[in-house]
Amino acid sequence: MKESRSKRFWDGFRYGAPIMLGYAPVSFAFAVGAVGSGLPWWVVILISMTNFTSAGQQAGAGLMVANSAWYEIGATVFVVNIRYMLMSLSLSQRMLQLPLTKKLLLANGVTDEIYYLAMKKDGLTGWFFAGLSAGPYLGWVGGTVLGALAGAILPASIASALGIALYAMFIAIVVPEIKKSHPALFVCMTAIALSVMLAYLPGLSLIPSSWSLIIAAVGAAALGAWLFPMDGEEAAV
Amino acid sequence: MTVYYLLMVLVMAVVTYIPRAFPLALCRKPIKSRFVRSFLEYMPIAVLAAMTFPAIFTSTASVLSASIGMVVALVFSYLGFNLLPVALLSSAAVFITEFVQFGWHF
Repeated sequence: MKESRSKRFWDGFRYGAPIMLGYAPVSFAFAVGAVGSGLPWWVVILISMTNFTSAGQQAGAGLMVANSAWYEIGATVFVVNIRYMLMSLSLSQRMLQLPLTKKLLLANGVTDEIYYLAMKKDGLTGWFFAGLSAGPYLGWVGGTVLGALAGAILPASIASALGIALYAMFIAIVVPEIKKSHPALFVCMTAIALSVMLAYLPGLSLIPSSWSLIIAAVGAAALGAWLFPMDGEEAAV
Repeated sequence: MTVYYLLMVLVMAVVTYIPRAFPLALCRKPIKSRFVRSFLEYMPIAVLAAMTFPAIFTSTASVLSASIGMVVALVFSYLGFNLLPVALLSSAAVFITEFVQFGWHF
């Protein structure tokens, strides 16, 4: 028998609470930066409410400040977000039972960290995923509101220090996984090596960084899957 | 300008939603290939690792402060600390480093 909807929702909410708390300083930093570079506060808040993503909206906000054309903004933000297609595809394997309308609603919650926790959950349900993404969404929008208001008065030193928060969170997610699994360690190191090569090697560094991200991630995951294919229906990562 | 902002936010929202929704909505059968399944399972680690490096080094006001923040994040993650404490400790390390480097007038 299945647990009740609200039980599944709140289980997911608790599971996602660390991301909610982790997102707030990141979106706070985004908002401080965006307001500082000249966007009106209400635009910054609207961006966080409708985009709910870090890298993509950072890129988009930067282009808006420069008064870029809609197709430039659209193309850049899309390329930065292409990685979500891979996440959405792998999540589809855990949500095969859900009706289309629910999938279309839940798709808004696909972010790097939520996706990551969702994939670790056995027996993922739609309501669990809804709860899992609700907290981080509130944290993201809440942090943006505070950041947009504080943007005018906060010293640059604190804004700079918060710039690393997103990456520190990524590290906190990955390190426990690579401690447990050698293939995961291999995939991680390969991705880092490819990403650094694409950023600094002459010639390769001409590739826009959003594309290098996809090339590095796809290359590392493919090499890992080829050398260390996983057994059974469930995987360890 | 208000119209421009509203339209651009709409464009960003659409191109963010499409990659999130389409594969989830369109892929309705289990993937049979062991390679593809493994590939999708390894994807999250690969994406996060590639997003972090080398971008982390330019995420603050100096490469030195970013490097120290990175080491702090690695050490506390290894010790088993959660997302938020790791993010805050790392930010604190960056703040202190930049204070030592640049002083108050930064």
